[in-house]
This record gives sequence, C-alpha cells and structure tokens, in this order.
Amino acid sequence: MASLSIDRVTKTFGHQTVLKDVSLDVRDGEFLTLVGASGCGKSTILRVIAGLEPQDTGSILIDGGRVDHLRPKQRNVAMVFQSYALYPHMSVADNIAMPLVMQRLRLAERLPLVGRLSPRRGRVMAGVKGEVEAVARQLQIDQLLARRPAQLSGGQRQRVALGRAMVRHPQVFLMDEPLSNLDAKLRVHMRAELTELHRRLGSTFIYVTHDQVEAMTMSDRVALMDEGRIIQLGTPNELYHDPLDLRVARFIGSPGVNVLPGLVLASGAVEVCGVKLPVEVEAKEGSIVDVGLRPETLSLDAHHPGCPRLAARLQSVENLGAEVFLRFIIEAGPAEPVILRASLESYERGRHHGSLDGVVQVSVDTQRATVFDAEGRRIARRPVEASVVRLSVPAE
Amino acid sequence: MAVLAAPGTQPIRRLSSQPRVEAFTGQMFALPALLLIVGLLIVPILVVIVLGFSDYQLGAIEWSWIGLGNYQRMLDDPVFWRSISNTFLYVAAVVPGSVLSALVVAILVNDRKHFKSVYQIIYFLPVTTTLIAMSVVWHFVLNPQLGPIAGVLRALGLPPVDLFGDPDLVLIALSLIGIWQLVGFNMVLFLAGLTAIPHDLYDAAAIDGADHPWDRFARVTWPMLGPTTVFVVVTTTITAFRVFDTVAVITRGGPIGRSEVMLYDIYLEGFQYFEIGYASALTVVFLVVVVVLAVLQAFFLDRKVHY
Repeated sequence: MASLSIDRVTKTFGHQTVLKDVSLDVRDGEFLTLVGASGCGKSTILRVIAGLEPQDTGSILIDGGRVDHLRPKQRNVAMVFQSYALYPHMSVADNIAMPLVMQRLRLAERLPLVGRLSPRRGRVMAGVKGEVEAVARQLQIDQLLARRPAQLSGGQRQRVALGRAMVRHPQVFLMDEPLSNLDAKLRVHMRAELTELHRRLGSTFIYVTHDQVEAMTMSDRVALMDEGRIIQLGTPNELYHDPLDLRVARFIGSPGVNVLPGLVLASGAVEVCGVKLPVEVEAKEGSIVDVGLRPETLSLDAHHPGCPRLAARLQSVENLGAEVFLRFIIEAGPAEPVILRASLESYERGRHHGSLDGVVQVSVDTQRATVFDAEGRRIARRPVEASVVRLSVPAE
Repeated sequence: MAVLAAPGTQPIRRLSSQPRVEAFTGQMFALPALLLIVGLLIVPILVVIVLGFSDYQLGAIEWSWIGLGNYQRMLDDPVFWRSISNTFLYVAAVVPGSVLSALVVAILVNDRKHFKSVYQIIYFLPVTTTLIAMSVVWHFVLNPQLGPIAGVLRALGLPPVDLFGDPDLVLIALSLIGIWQLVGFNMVLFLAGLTAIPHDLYDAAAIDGADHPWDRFARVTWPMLGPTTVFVVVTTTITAFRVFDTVAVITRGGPIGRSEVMLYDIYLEGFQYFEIGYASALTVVFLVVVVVLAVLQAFFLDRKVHY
C-alpha cells in the first residue's frame, strides 16, 4: 500500500509527444482510473510508472520517494496486461510463482541443474509453493494450478494474471485494460470482482481503460485524458454532472451528452434553437457557446411550470425495459438527433395520448445544463435559484 | 403398386446418394494432387525398394532377383560402414553447430536497431548460392599451396594446413562448410520465431524480476522458440544427412576414405559402377535412417515444447 505521485512527466516518441507535463497524485489505497480514447497516453503513463518506459522529464514518486532510477522489479509495482502476458510454457503455479522465485533465489540458484545443488533452494521453493496456493485459493483457481495457460478460458487466464500480481504484495497495482479481451458478460462480472478485490486488499490500484463504463463503475476517482494531458480529475459523479471540458462531457455517459449550439443573450441566458434557456452564464453577449444536455435533462413532461421547451419530432425509440431512449430531431436545430431518457410509464402515457405524433414539446431542465465556450471550456453560471424566479415564460 | 412405390423410394434414394456425390466430387478435386504424389514420390520409392532386391546393372540385358543379397553384401562392405559412420559424425557436428550458431546470430541480429537487414543479407547469402560452386571456392581458399589462408599462414611463419588432405581434419573441414552454408537459413527461421514472441512477455518478465539477460533468455526467449527449434533441428538433420556436393567436388571421399558419406557411396555405386541394384538397396537404408531419425526427433522434441 502506498501513495503515488506523477510529477510533471513528459514523454516523446520520435516527433510525437505522448505525455505533456502530466501531474497526478494517487492516494494510498485508492482505485484511480485513467480513461481516454486510444492514443491519449494513458497506457504510456502506466508504463512510465512501472519503469518499462523512461520518461523524458519529471518524476515518479512512490510514498514520497523518487523511483526514477529504479528498475521495474525494484519499484514494487505489479502489472496486469491486456494480453495477460502469461508465460505459455509454464504451469499456472509457475506463472504465479515467477515474481517470488525471481526475488528469493539468487541467479546461480535459478540455473537449471546447478541450481538444485543449493541447500537453500528447496526451502525457498516450498515457501513459494505455499504462498502461490494461498493466492490461488483467494482467486478460486487452486484447481487449475497444474494447467498451462492455453488450457484456460479468458476469465481464468485473467485470474492467473491477477494472481501473479497479488502474490508479491506490491505497493501499487497497475492494470492496463485487463478486461478488454473478455466477452461482455464476463467483463461485467469481473468488474464487480475487481472492485471487491480492491476493497479486500486495500491496495492502491491504477487502472487504465478506454471504457467509460468501467471507469464510472469501479473507480474512487477518474482521470480523463486526451492528447497526452489529464483534462479532468474527479469522482465519477463530478465527471458526469460537473464536466469542466466539453471533451469530458462527451466522453463520459452512455448514451452520450446532447450538445446544442447556442448564442449568449444580454441577460446571460442562452438562445438554443430559437428558444431562450435561462442558464445565466457569465459570458459576453453575442458569444457562441455549446450547451450540454444529458439525456435525463430532457423530458416529455414539464420539469416545472414554465420550463423551456424545444419543438421536435420523434425519430426513433430504443426500449430498454425500465427506461426508454427517444431520439428527436429538433425543428429549428441541427440535423443529428438529441437523445431523451424517459421512464417507461412516461413514454407509454405519451404514446397512449398520441402526443408523440407530429411536433412534440421536449422540456429542458436548465438547472442541470452545462455550457462550454468555443474552446470547449466550461463557463461558470450565476446562482441558479434567482434566475428561475426571473425566467420569462416562453410562448408555446 | 409400382406407381405407389415410386414416390416413397425416390426421396430415400436421393438422400443416400447425396453424400456419395459429394464424396465423389471431393475425390475428383484431390485426384491431381494424389496422382502427383503417387507418380513423383510413391512410385519411385517403390521402384527403388523393388530394385534393391535385384542385381540389376545399368544397361544390363540379363538380371535376376537376389532377395536380400544386396543387404547381405552391405554388411561385409567396409565402404558402407565407413560412409555410415562418417555421415553420422558429420551430422553430429553440423546439427548442433549450425543450430546453436544460428540461434546466437539471430538473437544478436534481432537486437540491432541499425543495419539489421544488412546483417540478415550477409548471413543469408550462402543459402542463395550454389553449393557446388561454393565448394570450388572453398577448395581454392583452403588450398595449402595456392589458397589465401595458406598465404596468411606462411606470412606468419606457420606451416600450411592441408584441411582436405589430412585424414584427421577432412571431416571437420567439410562440417565447417556445412555449418557455414546452413547458418543463414536457420537464422532466418529463428528470426521469424523471435519476431513472433509478444513483447508483453518481456515487459511482464521485467516487472517480475526476470530482467537479467540470462533470465530473459532462459525464461522467455528460449522456451518461446521451442517450436521453431524443433523445426530447425529436424530440417537441419535431414539436410546434413544429404551431404554430397562438397564431398563430390572437393574430396571425392578421400583421403583414404575418411570423407566417404552415404549419398556419395550411393552415387558411386549407381552412376560410376552402374550397380543399380546395390545402389537402390543403399538408398533404402538411407531413407529408413533419415525417416526414423526425423520422426523420433519430431516426436520427442515436440512433446517437450508443446504448450
């Protein structure tokens, strides 16, 4: 268990700068996820932390101490790879034992034949065997110890890779997209299991994924990366409800956020598709902005009397059982549809009354709308309570 | 009744004939390959086996079956035993020599960042040349009077070494040429094996503590090259058994029979002395030895490297 700091790390491959002055503090025992599209530098950070890739500038600190000069094995970190990277010629037991064997036997003792002459070897190997079995029992793979990786399913291989990481009791676990190679159902299952493992071990986990669902469901905090920088670091809730950058808003959430172009009016309200949204932003009149509206901020029913409404036509329906996603084309808006999340009963009611035919009035919960400037940065809002009272009722 | 029976029997016949038609089509597609295999491999081998039981001489009008006579003759033929033992000695030197040096060269070349392909070409060049021509070159290079090596030795005041004339050195000299010729090909095979090793494994090994060059080799590289090594050993063994060109061009089995090898013996009996029957029997023995060795190697080694 340990805290970990990344201090102003940059990394270049050839002419391409992969990490641009990245700083990050990971707390002791935290489950921190680095999430971003492929090529954003998240895996490179992990490799720099592990010592597999030297950084150009900056430092890595584990428990406050610099580890830049240490080799990967000396940093006391364990890594789980997307490909599992199990040794195919070794049994499960030998795979898990590998880090301990390397730590505890001297080079001469590891040699074939010659190594067996060492009186210490037998004792050390017996100890290793016991620890391997203990870890295997924790992961419920103790029945598989004699098998080779090729004889295991994807999920079982994943556990072996976890076992090899756990057996050395590392200060930090590094996980590079460990679930990407599993099928969808197993992935959901392993997600819960990894969270449980983290809770039980209490160790520091740094987890890399391109899947925002994994990031949202497993992490204490999430760092969202793009083009070699961390754009926002926060709890999953903060990233979802309070994105500081349009890229964060777009990346987090499924289905994605609706982004509509808007024009700032003198009052601070924003006109979107010909409708005035009383969002009261602190921006110059006449500036062009983007308004982010999560699917649940749009509704078939009015949020409150007099809330703004967008005239739209229903394009398609996606029924998930408990909830329904509706795609609307806004009459005076962009060509691509906005997505609205409705409860099943609200959708059924609307369908029953025939109010989903023709032009539909979609209500907007402006309190939860987020506004971004032309560079994609979030624009602060004036206190919302006051603005609700002053809001002018749009004509229907 | 016939009218009634017809609709009932027809579908049944169609069902049962369908797989037969498919099988026939499949056999027809396989026929050209089958004919080639039979014509180019099976029939010649059978002819050789049959001729091995005869005393047929090339161009002879009269010949007769002599049963195991040729094999009986082999047992008493000192040339046969010399060629067997020389061939095995040659194989025993060339296989480990060319496989191990190819492995070392492949690992060294693979680790190079610059001029990698230049090294690959240099080591591969002997493979692309004709061994007959190269034998002439080697003959000249190592000639004790005219060769550049002898010239260097003379300049250093050392006595010239006649590698091909010395009964104790001739097999070593031929083995070295054999190794020189095979290293490039084996290196290419090992290089292909090396590129197939996932880099993640070396990363995992580095984190697990196996970052010493010996550990990297013993724990990752060597085991991962297992299947490649089996293939290389088996093909090298077969190639080494077929040593002929260098012997025929440089030494002609000499001096005093110290470089007589199986294929050269067969060649002499068949095409110099026209003893086709005896040469056929020798060929059968050669074939059996090579096949048995190749199968044994593949069987034992494959079990060790299987994962």
